[in-house]
Amino acid sequence: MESFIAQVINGLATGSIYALIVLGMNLLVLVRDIVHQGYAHIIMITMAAGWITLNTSGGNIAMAIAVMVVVGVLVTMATEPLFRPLCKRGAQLETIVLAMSVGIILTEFMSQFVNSGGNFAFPASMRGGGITLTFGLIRLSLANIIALISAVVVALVLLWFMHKTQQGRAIRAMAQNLRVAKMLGIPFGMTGMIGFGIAGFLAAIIAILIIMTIGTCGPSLGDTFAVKSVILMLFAGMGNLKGGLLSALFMGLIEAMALAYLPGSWTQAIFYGVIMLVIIWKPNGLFGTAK
Amino acid sequence: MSTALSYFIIFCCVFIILTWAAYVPFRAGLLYNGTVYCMAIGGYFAALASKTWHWPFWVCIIGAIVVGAILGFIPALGFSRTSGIVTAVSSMALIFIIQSVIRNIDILGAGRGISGIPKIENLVLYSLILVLIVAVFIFRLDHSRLGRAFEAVQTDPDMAATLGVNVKIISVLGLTISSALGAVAGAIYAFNMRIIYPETFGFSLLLSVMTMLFVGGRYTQWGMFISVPLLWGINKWIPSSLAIYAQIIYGVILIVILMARPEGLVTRKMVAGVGRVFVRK
Repeated sequence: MESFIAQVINGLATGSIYALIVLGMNLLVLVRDIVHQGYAHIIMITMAAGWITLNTSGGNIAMAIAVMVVVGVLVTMATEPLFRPLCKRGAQLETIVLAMSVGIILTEFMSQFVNSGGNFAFPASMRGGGITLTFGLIRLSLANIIALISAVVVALVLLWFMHKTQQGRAIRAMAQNLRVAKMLGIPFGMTGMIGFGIAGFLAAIIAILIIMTIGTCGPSLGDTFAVKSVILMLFAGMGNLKGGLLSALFMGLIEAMALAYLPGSWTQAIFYGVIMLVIIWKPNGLFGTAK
Repeated sequence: MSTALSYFIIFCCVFIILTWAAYVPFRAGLLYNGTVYCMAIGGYFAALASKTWHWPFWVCIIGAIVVGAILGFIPALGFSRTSGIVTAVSSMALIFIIQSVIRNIDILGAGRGISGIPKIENLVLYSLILVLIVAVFIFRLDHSRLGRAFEAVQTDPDMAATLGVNVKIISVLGLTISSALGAVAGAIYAFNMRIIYPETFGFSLLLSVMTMLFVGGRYTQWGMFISVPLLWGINKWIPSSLAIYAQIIYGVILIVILMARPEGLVTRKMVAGVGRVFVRK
């Protein structure tokens, strides 16, 4: 029973990272109506930037975090002009291919230039010191709890931003109807840039949380997270912020249980198979509404 | 003929057929990422049939077409319910499923792959013949009643439905044809490499196919003859110090083409212009 509760917390911590990635991607769906696969790769590059800063500055954590935020925001905003001509023509299928190639370029960049393609681990000081808390027989790592709490806080702040501030309302209006939003004076380029900037800031936060809970990074990390989170996003319904949060948490839980209690080798096939069946059964997603 | 040249020609044939496999569903307005999945099926079937059961080459190809069409038909039934972006992304999951299934089945060599596939004499000739057959097939498909139905579904599914085109049947048919073509490409690939791994059929292969499709021009079947030799032979055109960055160059080319010339290098107007030279008025 104790190990079960620990597994639940671990699963929720992984799920909260998925949830934040899905949240960032959903934000981009609302801003530009694109499925940005390369978003997970941007997170990977941000982690690499943090690692390089840590190495060169001799373990200066504050500086590493600052560099990560700057890199995350800048790289995400740099991808916006690539999508703009396609978005103006409403060519949605092409944007998937474009995002895919952004992802591959970043992966290749990692495997050529950062640590010559090998995986690298972050020092324990960046991972919350490896402290474990003990409640009776339950042992939890501090990093997982911090990740879970900060994911909830970030998600709440983002939801507040989207629903209560003027910029958030502008982004949602563009998602509802681009032409009417333009007529009402919402700037297409500026709002998009703000949306991408926020998504980039979110990417930096996610990178820090992944460092705390997983602690290693490598060129394959981007692909793993990209496909999982894109598929989770479809599973919940595109552009549905709350549905994405719920299904990501749920999926993290399922994954932790499967890793703990099922024989390992078939897990991946079952995971993707089940999600594909659900997507085919409900093409608009479990929480989606018919357009 | 030197070995390097025959390798190059055979790989061009493989990728031309594979790119056509991505082109056919695009005619029906679907971006299907399952071509790599069908290629894995075809390749593994051909490897198994020729090595274990000692089937001759052409029987292996026909078997690969049948198996590929059947295994492509089953997911196609599901994807006929979805459209656009959903098909594109959820067909990516097929790649992970097939890789993980191959790794768990011992008769397919699990993670070690199948090696020692028998050598085929005259493989260059055979693959050129196959490209020719597929080219004629796609040309006939494009210029038939069925091809116009594909076109109508791509332009506007709702309008196509009012014109009496059954959109679901069209998309299932497109995906099944695409699966069969992908299986042919996989079979030739297996006979050429004579060893086959599950890792081959991953994302970088998918990116290569998509780059070839989008650079060549996805509205005509002829663009592949330009883009495939150009992109597959990229190691030959660029200096060898840059060769390790081939994937990055692919990505950059794809992004530039998508932004600057969204129709691809060969457009319909060009094909019509070339056609007018040969047809007297």
